[in-house]
Amino acid sequence: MFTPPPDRIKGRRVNFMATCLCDSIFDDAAECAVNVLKKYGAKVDFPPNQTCCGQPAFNSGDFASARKVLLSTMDAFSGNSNPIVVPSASCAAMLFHSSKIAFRDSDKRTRERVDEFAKRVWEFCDYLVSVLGVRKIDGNLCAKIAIHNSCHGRGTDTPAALKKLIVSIDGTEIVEFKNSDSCCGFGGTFSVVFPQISSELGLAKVRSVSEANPDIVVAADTSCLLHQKGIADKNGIDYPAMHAAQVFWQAIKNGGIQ
Amino acid sequence: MAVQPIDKFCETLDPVVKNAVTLASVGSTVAREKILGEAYPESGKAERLRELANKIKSIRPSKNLEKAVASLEANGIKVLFAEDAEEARNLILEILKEKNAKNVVKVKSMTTEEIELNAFLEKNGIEAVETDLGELIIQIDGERPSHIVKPAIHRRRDDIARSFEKHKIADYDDNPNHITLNARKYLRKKYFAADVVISGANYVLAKEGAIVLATNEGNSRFSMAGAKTHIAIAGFEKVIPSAKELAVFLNLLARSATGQHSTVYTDFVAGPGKSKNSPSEMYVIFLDNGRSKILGSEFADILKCMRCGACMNRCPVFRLVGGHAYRAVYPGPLGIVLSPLLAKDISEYADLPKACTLCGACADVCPAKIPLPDLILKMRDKVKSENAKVANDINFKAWSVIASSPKLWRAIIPMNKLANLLPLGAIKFGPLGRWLRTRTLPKFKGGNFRKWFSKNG
Ligand code: SF4
Repeated sequence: MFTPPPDRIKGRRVNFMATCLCDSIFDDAAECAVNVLKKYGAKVDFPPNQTCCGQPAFNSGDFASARKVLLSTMDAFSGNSNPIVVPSASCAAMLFHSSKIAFRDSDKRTRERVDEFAKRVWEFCDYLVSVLGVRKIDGNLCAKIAIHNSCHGRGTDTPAALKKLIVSIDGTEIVEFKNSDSCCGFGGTFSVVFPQISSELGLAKVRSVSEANPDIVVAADTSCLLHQKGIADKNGIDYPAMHAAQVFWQAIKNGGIQ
Repeated sequence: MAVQPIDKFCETLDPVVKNAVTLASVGSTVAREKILGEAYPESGKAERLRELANKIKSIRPSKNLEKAVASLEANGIKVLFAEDAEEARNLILEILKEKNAKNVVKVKSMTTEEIELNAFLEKNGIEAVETDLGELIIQIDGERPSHIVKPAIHRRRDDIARSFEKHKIADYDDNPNHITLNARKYLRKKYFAADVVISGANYVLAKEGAIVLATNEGNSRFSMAGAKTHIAIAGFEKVIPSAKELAVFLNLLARSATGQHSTVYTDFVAGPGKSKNSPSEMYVIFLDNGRSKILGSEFADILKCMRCGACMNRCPVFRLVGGHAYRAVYPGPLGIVLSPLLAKDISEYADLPKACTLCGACADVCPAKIPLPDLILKMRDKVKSENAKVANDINFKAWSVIASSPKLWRAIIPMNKLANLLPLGAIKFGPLGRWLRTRTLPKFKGGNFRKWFSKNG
């Protein structure tokens, strides 16, 4: 559904896009992502003018505001034409799929620019597997892991990459849970525009995940986890949520091979 | 605090109803997946069929319609056109008056729901009885369908039995088999008394000049056996080129809708019948009601919908709230795109496209491969640009100024740490208040990553 362009740009020198959530809350997830990228041979740049992918406004139907932010983001990454790695399936989908909808009525030059930009965007796990060719995460991590596939990974290689990499870690065991393919109800601004529905869906998700008793709940997005963990906390449910990058880096550190 | 109507509906919905809707929708999703896997074990085959279904409906809709009119007429069917719901209702009433019809039987049709036919006929002194069990159940209680395929998805058998008792259809008996038998007994008399049968059409075959009805209860055949006149009403998008293409659709329709390989009955009606046990006159009314406008817009894909209901069965929001939450005839992912388009005033349904987490699951199951999430987003844009007000809308103007100015952003983001000092629990209003009502927030750490990167990156 949120399928990336088929002819994406590959390369080991990359721009890291932290996303607004990592910039403001989840600094540790972003740090781990950079560490993992470097460990597997990427050279990482961080263009300082980056802000956000524009998704909050876009998903709320305010396309004009979203375009404004997207234009600034494209400028921020215009210093080179290297791939852009994003530790979020959702922000990546915004940049390689939804941006085209936001600019669908713009002039040809702008649309071409948006298309070219889309070809550079990779979700973190997908990039590790598809570009860096990572088959196995080194080190070890003795843990039962529940994988939450964030919805915006639909139609991309992210879910397969995430699973493959988690399974590859020595000591991990994947635990299945009920309704694993249903949305957790976060939905960006949906979470505060429809708080009742969002929370009911979130609680159902948190309950079915914790019934499986995982040591770690992992996802390729911090945003769904922010919502799920927030709900779990409020309901006194222990919810060991981690971003994929944190899990990978933990395993590597455990192996003493960073 | 202004509240989204659909969110409010969820808050106040009877948990028993909620559970019934969830179970039924999840069940249909599972059944769909299972049967498609059974029918097409080779990977990619079902996918190709869905692509075909999408393509067939993109090809020359107006040419097909022209051809359909000619072939239907050649088969002795009278073809009429209705610009909008009102015209369609009046056309039907005229025919009924001409035939001096008092009793009408109906075969389940969402198009007749769209034009709100039943209430109109009742006002004009004509009894129109729904013959599909689900439709009958909601009709006697004056309700609207809560699902396009299973209209009584929100009802439980005990309260159905109570309704049957109240409306003198049968004594109280909540055994599902007996409910069906009681409805059947009640309907038998109606079939015999019927002057006219009104149906929709799942498909109209342009080449053969026939309509196709896919049903499960045999009620369409009973209805046609008794009545002397058959009126079928269909949106013009129901026309497909020929019976050859029909195979693609029939292979997808029932599997996607109810998890059956095919509906129990598939009727081909190609004109008035020759025996005395069939209507001697037949009309097909093509309804526009906003469709030509949709066809020329960026929402044209929504006209490829085959009304299977798979998208709503799969939708997390629909599963929780059911169809009545949407207020409109068409609910769920399909409805939040189509209903605002069909409405006279878009602001009436401006909140609908917001009732979606954009999870994309609907697009995964749609047999016509309609890019529903993209259309939903475009609908949000349309609603916004037409200035329709929606409750709880967040204003992104100020945010977009900050997020498009790297300097401002870098200055402001680290300040979020100040929020850690605030008693967040005290915030009751606005987006943050709505977040905190059911969720906690972690500590803000604005700018930390940038600092780290400049040292370690
Ligand atoms: S939009 Fe697709 S899934 Fe939904 S009812 Fe129509 S055909 Fe079925």
